[in-house]
Amino acid sequence: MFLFVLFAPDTNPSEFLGIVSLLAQENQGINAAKDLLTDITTQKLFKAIISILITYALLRGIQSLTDWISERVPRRFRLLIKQSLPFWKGLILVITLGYLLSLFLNLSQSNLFALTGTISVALGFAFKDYVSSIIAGVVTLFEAPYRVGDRVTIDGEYGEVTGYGLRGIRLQTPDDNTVTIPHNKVWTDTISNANSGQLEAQVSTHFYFDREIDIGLVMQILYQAAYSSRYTQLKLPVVVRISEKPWGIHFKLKSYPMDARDEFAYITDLTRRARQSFQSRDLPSLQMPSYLDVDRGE
Amino acid sequence: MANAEIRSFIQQIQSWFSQAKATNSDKELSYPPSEVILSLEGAIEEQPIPSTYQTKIREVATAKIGEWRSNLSAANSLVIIGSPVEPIARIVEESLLNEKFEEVRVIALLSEAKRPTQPSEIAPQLQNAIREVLEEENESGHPKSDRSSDARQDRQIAIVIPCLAQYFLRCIQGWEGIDFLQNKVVQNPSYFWILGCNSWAWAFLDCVGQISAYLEQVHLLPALDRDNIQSWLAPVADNVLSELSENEDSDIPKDRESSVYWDGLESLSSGMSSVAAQLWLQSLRTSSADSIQDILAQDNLTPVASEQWRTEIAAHLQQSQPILPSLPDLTTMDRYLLHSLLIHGKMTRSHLALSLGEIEQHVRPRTQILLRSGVIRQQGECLAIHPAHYPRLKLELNNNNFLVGDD
Repeated sequence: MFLFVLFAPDTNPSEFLGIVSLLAQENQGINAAKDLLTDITTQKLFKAIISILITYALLRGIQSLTDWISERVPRRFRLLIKQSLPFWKGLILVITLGYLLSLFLNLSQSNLFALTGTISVALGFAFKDYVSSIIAGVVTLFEAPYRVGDRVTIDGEYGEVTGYGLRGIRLQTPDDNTVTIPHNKVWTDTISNANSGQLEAQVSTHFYFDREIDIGLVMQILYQAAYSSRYTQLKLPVVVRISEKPWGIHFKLKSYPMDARDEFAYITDLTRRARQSFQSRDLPSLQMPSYLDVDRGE
Repeated sequence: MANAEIRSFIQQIQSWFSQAKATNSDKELSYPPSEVILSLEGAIEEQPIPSTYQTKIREVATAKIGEWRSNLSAANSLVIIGSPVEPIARIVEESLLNEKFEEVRVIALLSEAKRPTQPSEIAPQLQNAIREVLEEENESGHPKSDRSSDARQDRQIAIVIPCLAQYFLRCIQGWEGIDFLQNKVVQNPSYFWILGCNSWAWAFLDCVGQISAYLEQVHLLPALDRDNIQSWLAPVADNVLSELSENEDSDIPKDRESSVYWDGLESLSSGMSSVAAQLWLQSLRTSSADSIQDILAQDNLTPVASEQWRTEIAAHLQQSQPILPSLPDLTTMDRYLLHSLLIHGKMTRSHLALSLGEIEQHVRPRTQILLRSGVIRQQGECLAIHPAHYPRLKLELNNNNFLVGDD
């Protein structure tokens, strides 16, 4: 290329200088890379392979050891020992990685600086979702689509918000599972909040009857069931809604417990009270044909 | 409601300070024997109700009956509301039953004030009693409606139901009797209806049946001031006490100490007679419990008013600064249980279990624990809230989002 430029009849001097500087930079880069890497010898390769094999053996060994110890200590220490395993594995991997890097790289200050810059770019791409969650968490503090104590549905999971962390929230589901949901779900997913900072959250209890049922009587019983339940927040309204369905009549009793945490105990209490009254008055239950798919929601 | 909250807050602060003052500097003072306290309690119960209550109720009843007799469109009911720990039935009866209101005759209904054992009998009991008295009066010529030529002159009967809370239960169909009563009141304007009810039951019935739409004239029992409380307790307290608790190093005159004591009692009790009485009893101390025990062991306990009592028992008693007793740690179930008791005034265990939607075996352990802690007490077959715990309990339940009475 230099010869082409040298011998080109209409070569511009400034263009010529630009090309020369590019070539110089390329040469500089090649030299810098040579400075970063050490000489790769057979001995170093052998050492690297041995260290990788030893690392693999150590990882397998520590896994077996923690499993063995955790089953022999008292129950309250079992989880502690199991929970320490990722840290031991991480430590082994870090030591091995450090050894391999020192084996193949010249870790001078300038080299380390260059290497860190490269790694930072890689980490930035890797942690973009984490940063997005942190920023979403800050935004959520102000917009408050959910707060600790709220009963929310996010991404198909329903439960009480029991923890508000840097990256996400913890939900305690009715089945006593803990679900972690990252804050960045707020950018794209809908969030349904049942109580939004209040102690009470509306509860719907469903009842189904045949078309021939005495609607007035059923409604009266449902109102009384709600008012007589110990969980009911009497300061808030109680409402009974009716809808006609192809297979019968759907009654929905909407009321509020004093504490949203009692939601399921409340539904149980209402259902039990109402059903006892229905049975005492011989009100027939709905007989559903098996081929019908019942809509049990809105 | 805001005023009640402010008053509760002030009482809370005052109770903290009164607790600080109540630290007994004389470590030798101890509680009197329980027999002494029971005797004093019995003596207080035999007392007539505070005259302030009687005077005020008679005043209001006279005014409202007068309005009803002179104006055909005036309301024909009056509800007397008190706290759940006050003996509202007795207060209404003693105030009204022997009273004459112009030409109006007073008929008492259901003076026994006891909830029937079977929940299915609660509504019929009230319904039958009301039907009987209306039919009886109709047969004797009393007009059912105001269609006669001089309807005002026909308005001559006041029907008194001393305690409404005993005639409903918080269960399905539990307040049908109250619905019946509401309709009868509206349908029979030629009768004047006077009802006693506790404030928590009233709040509940208003939520479930809008009772205030039918019985719109409501009168709260007045709060007793310190003079009222002191004069009401005087027949018992004067027999008992010879001296107030003294601090020998104090320069405070006895009059001032007495004033501080009764001011404290008024504040802590919020002007409720039953609370004041219990706090007074709990403030009693003795420096010679052994001497009293010896006397009790030798002789049967003589009446409180007797000379022997004054010389042998009363001489050893002193009163210290009143304090509100602390509530024990309450579980969620305890709060529901206590709330139910406050709504119903007093009730049996089986009714309590029914109102809570539990079987009796599940409720018994908690009632036993609360009985032992003194928050509730047994009165015959029934359980009721101990009046001394009422102020703190009301605050506790209000803070836990329960519907509370406005008293």
